[in-house]
Amino acid sequence: MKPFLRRLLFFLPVALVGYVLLLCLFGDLGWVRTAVTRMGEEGHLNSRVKDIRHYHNVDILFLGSSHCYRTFDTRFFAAHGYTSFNLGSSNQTPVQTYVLLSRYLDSLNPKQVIFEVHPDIMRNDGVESAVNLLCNTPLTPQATRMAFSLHNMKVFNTWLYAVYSQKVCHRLERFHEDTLIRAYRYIPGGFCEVDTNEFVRKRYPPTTLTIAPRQLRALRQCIQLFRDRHIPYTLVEIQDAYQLRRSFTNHPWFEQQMSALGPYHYQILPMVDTVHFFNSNHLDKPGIQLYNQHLLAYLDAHPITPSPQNPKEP
Amino acid sequence: MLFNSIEFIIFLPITFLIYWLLRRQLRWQNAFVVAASYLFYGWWDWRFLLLIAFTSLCSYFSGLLLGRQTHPARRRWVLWGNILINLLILCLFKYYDFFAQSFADAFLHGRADRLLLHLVLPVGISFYTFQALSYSIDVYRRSLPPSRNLVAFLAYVSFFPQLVAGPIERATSLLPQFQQPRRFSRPLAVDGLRQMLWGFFKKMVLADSCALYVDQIFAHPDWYNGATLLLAAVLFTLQIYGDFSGYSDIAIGCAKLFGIRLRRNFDLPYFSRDIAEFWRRWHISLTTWFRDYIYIPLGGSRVSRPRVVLNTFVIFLVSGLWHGANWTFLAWGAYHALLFLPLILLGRNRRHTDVVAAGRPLPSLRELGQMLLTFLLAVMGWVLFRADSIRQAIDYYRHMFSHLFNGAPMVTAPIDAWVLGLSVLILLLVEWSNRGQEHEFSRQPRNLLLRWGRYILLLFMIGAYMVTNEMPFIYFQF
Repeated sequence: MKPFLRRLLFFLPVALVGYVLLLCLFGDLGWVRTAVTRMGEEGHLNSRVKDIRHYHNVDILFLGSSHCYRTFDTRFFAAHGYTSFNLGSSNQTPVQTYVLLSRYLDSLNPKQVIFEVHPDIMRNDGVESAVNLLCNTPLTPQATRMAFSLHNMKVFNTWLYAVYSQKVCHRLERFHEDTLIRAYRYIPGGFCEVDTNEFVRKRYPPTTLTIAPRQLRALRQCIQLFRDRHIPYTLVEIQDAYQLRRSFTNHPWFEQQMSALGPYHYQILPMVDTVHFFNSNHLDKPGIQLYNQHLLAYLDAHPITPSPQNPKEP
Repeated sequence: MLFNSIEFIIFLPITFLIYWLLRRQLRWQNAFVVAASYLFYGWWDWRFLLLIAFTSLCSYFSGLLLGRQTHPARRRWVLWGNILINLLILCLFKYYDFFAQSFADAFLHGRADRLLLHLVLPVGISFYTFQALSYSIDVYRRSLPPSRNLVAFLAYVSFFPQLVAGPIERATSLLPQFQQPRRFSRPLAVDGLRQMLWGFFKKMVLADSCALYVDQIFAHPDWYNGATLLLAAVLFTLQIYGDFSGYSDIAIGCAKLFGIRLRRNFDLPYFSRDIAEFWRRWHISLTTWFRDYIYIPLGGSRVSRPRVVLNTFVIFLVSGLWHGANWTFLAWGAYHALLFLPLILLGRNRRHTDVVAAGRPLPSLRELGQMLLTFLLAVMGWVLFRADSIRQAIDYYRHMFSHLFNGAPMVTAPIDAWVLGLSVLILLLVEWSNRGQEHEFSRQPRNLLLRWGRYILLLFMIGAYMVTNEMPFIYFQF
């Protein structure tokens, strides 16, 4: 049996080297299903993390998923006297937000944080966002830990390819992301603008909301980072179009869970789906305008106060 | 626990090492096999363990009783008692709701709410029930002495590699292996790993890739043209083969790591030249089970012609019903009975018992035509198997044939098409070149670099082209 084990232990590293070489080769050709090997995809995370170097001591830091970077228009808040940065990205879950915060929170040093939470994101496995983050941002030990904690082959392969692409080929520094990807235009400060409206009325099956334990843990870790730095934060949920909103059978439960984590704001504004929504869960230009005005009024009505050190948790 | 899960990747090496550390204490080694197998099975739901333990104990004690009894009538009573208990459990969990619903549809205008039990189907119940039954029948027939070693018997029924989806082992071949000390064999273990690798490729690359396309098309067959429906049917044919034979290869390979040999379950069925040959090569352990325990006792083909027709239908309908509680499975069984009957009535069912194109690199045109025709007949049958209802299957056929030349088949994303094309090509090349071998990945180059290169390429394909979510094996539901 010993020769068998010895041979097996010799084979495994050889196989790993062979695997990595093939992954790099096929990854360059774009022929790998379980690895995202292309930089500069929808969401403009690549541009955002390059842009972030120019921002320090902002008044507001926006965090969250596409709902965040497609809603909180930093130009609008600048026009009203708030400097801000939008650090949202496609499908970004608290797991990835924590990685980004560990990297950029201290340099941004925000006066307050608006943390967008959406029921779909809180039950998400985080794979899509993880591969986006690994492809488009510099590899750090936190990103590596995150990649391994998800136990997903797509994330693992993307991480392997990112090591090759960033550390061996130095592609990330050389890469320049287009300002316009599909219909989305990147605006300095992190917001992404879209001029069209693709809203189609759809029916959604009834859905019972859940929260993935991993996401809840990560959200608490993010909140702990704010508390350690005495940064006030608000969890904000942006409304969905009517049919989608209606499909969530236990939304009050979700509201209760979020409220237990700290200040939480969710308000249904008088919006018309066909007028104010880009699709079922993203606002369009008039919707964004309306929502940001509402948020501004909310912020003005709730002046910044340091977050409590030990608020009651569920 | 799924073979294609992280839990199994951790479970297998730990089990392997402890198992061989206990090689000098057979009883402890067998006890460890039982514990590991129960852990493997209980991973789904620990309550299922009660059921498998009950089934095992029933068969074990019925075996002891059969060994003691000499009176033929009493022996028959013991045997039938055990068969009834096992079949009752199987019927309760697997078929009760189906028959209750069918009864309600026929006589109660479909109002079956009060009749249905909605029991969760325990994973692999059909497999281990049949394995336990084969033991009792073999003891009754005196082809096997009753086992007095409870631990070895429990290991025989619950041996984890083949517990949930076969191959359905016979006590005559597997039980003695648990009653004798095992010695570690390096060639056997290496061959086992090789077979597992091939099984993982078939399941995680071929079958799961096909499933992405097939599920999409079968969900809304009326949205697509005939060529797309035909392509989906062909891909389901490959999916079910990759899925089930992949599982069997992993199971057989895994068993080899523990010094246990399981029977072959698939022998290149899609290279068959007629349906009779197909059934000698598809799910061999189940086919031979039905042959030995139902078909032959009914008289087989050595009875009058009407009885041959009846026996053939019985065997195929039971085989269909074994797969699941749905009329579609019965129709699938009847379809194959209809294809099989002419061959058996004309005495041509054993024309092709040899390896196709033996000693030649390529088949003759005639053989190629025969193989393609048999494959196409199997494809048509799999539509029945995959459909949710007879109505859906009929609609599928109707839509497929009426719009067959209505444009080219819909192609999926380029990466999926590339994966499918490449994996089908690899499957064809590897399986064709391994005809007549012990398994489809037996023959390997002598050169170490070439051999390891092949392994690494397969590992890469699994890692790079697998569908990232864990996809359960189709046959688990049976």
